[in-house]
Amino acid sequence: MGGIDIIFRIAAVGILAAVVSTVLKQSGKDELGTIVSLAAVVITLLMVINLIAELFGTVRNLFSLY
Amino acid sequence: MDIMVIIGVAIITTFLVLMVKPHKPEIAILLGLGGGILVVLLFVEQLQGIIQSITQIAGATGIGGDGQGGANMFSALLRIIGIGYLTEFAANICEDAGNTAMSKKVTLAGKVLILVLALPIINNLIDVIISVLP
Repeated sequence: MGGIDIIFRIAAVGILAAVVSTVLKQSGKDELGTIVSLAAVVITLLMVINLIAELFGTVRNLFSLY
Repeated sequence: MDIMVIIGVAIITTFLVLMVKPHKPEIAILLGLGGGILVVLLFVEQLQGIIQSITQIAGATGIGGDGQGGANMFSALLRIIGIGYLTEFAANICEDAGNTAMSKKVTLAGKVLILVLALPIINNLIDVIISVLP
């Protein structure tokens, strides 16, 4: 199964971003924490967008939508 | 056993969403979205076979074949199913993210587009009824 690893990767990015932003917040660098959160969201979105495109293409082929 | 793979993906995704949600809700939503798409992509090939055989049956009965207006009737039906499925998917994502208003609007848009696709079929029916009437 080549698909489940993307789920683990997204979860890893989320947990890592949570830890890093918490550490940055503790050391008084709130703005850096916000930027880290934003970067994490962008990275996750880039991972998911391929899946979304695959799903839409599949459904479009299947039901002959255009 | 495909169902075991699907169950595994679903349970793992659920637990990961549960883990990530308190810290980063926005990433948890994307995680749920990815897991949902993955589950759908795992069973969509079977659906393809089902749709092919239904198309064959429709062609044999003449609904999906070369009849006047018959071909676009069956493909319109397929398109309606596709629109309904995609709409449901997007509405569920919006509702999971807590945006019920957007979910309702997506559902309404799907209904309107399905009605647009269904209108020619209804017109066909009305034409048939009128031609039958003395």
